[in-house]
Amino acid sequence: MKAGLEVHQQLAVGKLFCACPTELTETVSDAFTRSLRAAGGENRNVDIAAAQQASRGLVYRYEAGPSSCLVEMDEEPPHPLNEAALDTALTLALLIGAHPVDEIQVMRKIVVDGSNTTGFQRTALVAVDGRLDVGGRSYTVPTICLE
Amino acid sequence: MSDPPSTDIWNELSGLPPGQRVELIDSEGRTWRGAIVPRHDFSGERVVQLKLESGYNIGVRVGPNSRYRLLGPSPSPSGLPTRPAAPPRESDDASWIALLTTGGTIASRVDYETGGVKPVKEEREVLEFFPELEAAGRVRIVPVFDRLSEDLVPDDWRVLAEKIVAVFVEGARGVVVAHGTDTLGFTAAALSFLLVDLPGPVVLVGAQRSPDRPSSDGASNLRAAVEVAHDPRLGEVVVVMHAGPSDDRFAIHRGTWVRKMHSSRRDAFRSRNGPPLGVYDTGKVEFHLPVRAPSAGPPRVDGPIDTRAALLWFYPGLTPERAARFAEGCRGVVLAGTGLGHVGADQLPWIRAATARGVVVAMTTQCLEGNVEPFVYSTGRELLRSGVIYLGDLLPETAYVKMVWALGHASEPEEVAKLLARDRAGEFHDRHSSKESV
Repeated sequence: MKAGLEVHQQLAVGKLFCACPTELTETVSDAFTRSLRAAGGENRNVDIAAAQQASRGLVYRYEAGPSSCLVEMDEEPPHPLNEAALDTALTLALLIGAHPVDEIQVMRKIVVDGSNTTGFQRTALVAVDGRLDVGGRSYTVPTICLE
Repeated sequence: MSDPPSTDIWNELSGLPPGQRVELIDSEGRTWRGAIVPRHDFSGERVVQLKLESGYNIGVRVGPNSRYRLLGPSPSPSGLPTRPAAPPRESDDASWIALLTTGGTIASRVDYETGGVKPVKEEREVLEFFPELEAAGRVRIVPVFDRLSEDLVPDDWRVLAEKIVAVFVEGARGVVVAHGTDTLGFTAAALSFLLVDLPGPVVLVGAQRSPDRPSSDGASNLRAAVEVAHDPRLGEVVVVMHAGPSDDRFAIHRGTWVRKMHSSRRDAFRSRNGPPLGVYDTGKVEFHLPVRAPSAGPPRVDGPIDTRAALLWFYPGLTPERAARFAEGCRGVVLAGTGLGHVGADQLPWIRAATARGVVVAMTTQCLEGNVEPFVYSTGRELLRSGVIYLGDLLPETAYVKMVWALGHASEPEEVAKLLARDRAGEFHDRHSSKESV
């Protein structure tokens, strides 16, 4: 049996694709509703899980506050990837002996459960094959992503 | 491995078709398995783009010692197949809507070579994006152009107008024009001036998010546009787009009043100088202002046009020489002046010379709202004396389009000026409310 862990760490360098802070807040300054469709992805085929989710015809209500801007509302194209975040990810990668990929690409992962206003999350594979030694044991870190 | 380590495999790899799966061993001996995805313009040299088996995309540099082997084409995705190329259903219902496609984001997909979006060309592709059109059975798709709207030119307005008349003559109850948003306002104004005796609505619609995104506004805008195109009360050219950031409320703008006021928001289109004509809200069309009723017909195109016209935005530092050169060869010039309709006093000589030789010079305001008014300041009075005509609250773009139309209809400057000043498509507002116009 093989088990793996996916560890998410929010980086304290602002958001990845806009200049917003990452602070969580209860303040609501705007609200809007959206529906999401199962769009064909890169290969023009519609993912069956996405189609199933979209066929439910749900309407999602979003609330915007001081930590969000038009980018989170999917009303403005993403800004260039946050360089401080990329620097942090690359630093971590090198610290654990991982191998940065030759060219980092941001790809779309279609998620139409409403958790993203865009209907997809943006993920970039930064490095592979790291190793972390803790308490006398060695753990492999196969992939390091920014998303 | 298909190649010995010493052979440069770049030429072979870069020629592989997208979707081809490969196992690539890079110069450092690391093995990557994935499918080729198209290279993009911003990628580095000798970098092959792979979609890894994990689903992530990366670029791998191909060095002199890289090796690869073919793994065969990508297996069929487990998801739904691409929709078949079924033609739209011909409905027995007489009330069909014609959907004219011209390109633009509403009918575009991501182009992996540039990372941008590219218009689709065929009916089949439009149906892939909007399968509900097929199910509705009341929409016939008529491809007209497959261009982004910034590539459309005034002669295209005439072609589009002729197509619209043709589908009305065939019996369409209303017409929807899917159009790129960048110059949609120009086309809407042009069709407003060109089309006469419309028996039903002409609805221009676009999208601010491409249809390959789950969050695209294209489908909901299109649905609203089709509903408005069915409305029996309407016989004029309108634009239907999101009224706000939500997917449930859509503004119905008069074609001559509307302007793209934001580069990316869904609700970028705003009527200037007053509210829109109405809204499509939770499934219902409501008009808040009087609209032009359908005509008994027959519809026709009131051409021709003359494109010897220019739109000139005045700004501090614009030299009269530059402005005069810009106006060369024109029969008409629309100025977007400051405030109530002013330009620097140093512009007066070229303007006087132009009007003296029969060029029609018209004034609008770059404030985009409110009337131009020549009598308040001396500059305005000078401009008026120089032969400049003042065009009320017309948007500069609408005034330019009207100039192109008017120049095609009259040879004498005085006649052109009369056509410009006379309301034709409800483009002038008699009254301006203090209420926020959005």
